[in-house]
Amino acid sequence: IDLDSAKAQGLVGEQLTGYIGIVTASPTPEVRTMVNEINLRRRASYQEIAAKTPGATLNAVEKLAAEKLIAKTPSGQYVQNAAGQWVKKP
Amino acid sequence: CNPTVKIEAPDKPIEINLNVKIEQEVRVKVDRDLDDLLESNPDLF
Amino acid sequence: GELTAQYDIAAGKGNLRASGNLEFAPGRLELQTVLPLLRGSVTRMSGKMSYTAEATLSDRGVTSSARATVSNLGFVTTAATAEGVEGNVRLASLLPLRTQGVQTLRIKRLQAGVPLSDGAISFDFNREGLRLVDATWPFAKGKLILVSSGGAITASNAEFILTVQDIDLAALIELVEVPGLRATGHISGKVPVAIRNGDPILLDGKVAAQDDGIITYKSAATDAAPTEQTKLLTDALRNFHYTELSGGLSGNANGDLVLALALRGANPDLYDGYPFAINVKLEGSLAEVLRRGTVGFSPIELIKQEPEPALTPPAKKMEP
Repeated sequence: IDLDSAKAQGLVGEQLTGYIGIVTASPTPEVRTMVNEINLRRRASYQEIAAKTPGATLNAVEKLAAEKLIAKTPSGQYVQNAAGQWVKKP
Repeated sequence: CNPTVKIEAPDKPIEINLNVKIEQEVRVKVDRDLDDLLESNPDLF
Repeated sequence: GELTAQYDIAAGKGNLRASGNLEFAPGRLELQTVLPLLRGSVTRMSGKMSYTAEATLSDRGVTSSARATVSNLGFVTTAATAEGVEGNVRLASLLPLRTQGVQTLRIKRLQAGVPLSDGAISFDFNREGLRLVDATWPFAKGKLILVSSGGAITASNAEFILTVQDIDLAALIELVEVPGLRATGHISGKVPVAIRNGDPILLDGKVAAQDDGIITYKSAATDAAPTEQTKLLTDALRNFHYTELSGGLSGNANGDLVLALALRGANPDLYDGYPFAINVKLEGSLAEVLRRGTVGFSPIELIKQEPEPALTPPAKKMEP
């Protein structure tokens, strides 16, 4: 399973932290491993951007990435709202 | 008279209380790098 | 790699031996591609690993052991990015994973909120799980020592005590290069650290100077009319002999940290050495400043932007 189909099936969604979160109550081990691996590779990339940008912390980069990722999520897929709850993007 | 020695308690120190916040606005600096990152890794984002 | 196996049907005993050299490269060959167990917990692996592993099958079941030598190993995990990892690891068993007692590796560079160089990490993986026995880095002519405190390290729970030992203030200031600031003295203390979602969270650590020292700050900036507040502070800090210096440290090393600094002492050239109590709460990406090695702004400019904080006038103001 890849990220796009997992998102399309509503199994996972974009969090406020810039990482993928599991939405489904019963994720398969394969989905769990995919999410962990994607998030770790995202983190490595965010870290690289923070390292080369004076004044930027990892958290600052993560937050800005989350804004972009949530904005570009197609309607009907899950994102976290400001309160951190899973909602379907209108 | 017997001299009394008064130990003078040190005066109350001059107090300086200060809050300093280091705000670094990095949105602009990071914006393009993030766009490139998202575009060049479709499998991740 | 090389794999040899024998099996003696009659005796019901078998032996399997594997050895080889792996050269990791991100995206091509990584340990987690060889050991799927590690997928999602380590990535971007580079460097070399040579290994020998042995498994024996007998009526008592399977026993296994392994030895690995890593050189210039690099990898990224949620909590830290490591580069230049060197050393040997002896495993007493592969499944379940157990080390043969405490193992030690040297790490050229570790980025975990703050940049740490030339460290040595000793860890033990036994029945109770993974535990950091000792991890020491030289830092500002002193040491940073990290030890597990809250039981075994798991993906979601890792608690440590960071011991700050004899950090030389002059060397520390050199690391962050605050223009015009010099200080003498050494600080030590303990900072509890919890890893949460990979971020090192500092939980109200305390550091303090054991001995007296001197702080001199000559603000280069010929700033405009300083507020009464900043004038008094810069006058005091022109030659501040502290008798007490203590700091409270808390926050997220990957985000915002709060340093609450308390200074007691006096400037012998100001109001005949009238005692001062200076409390500065510094909030922001302090760890990032350490990583970048320059503060990148003049503190006085920063202080002046602050709203006029409380200033208690001295009991009796003596003009020098």
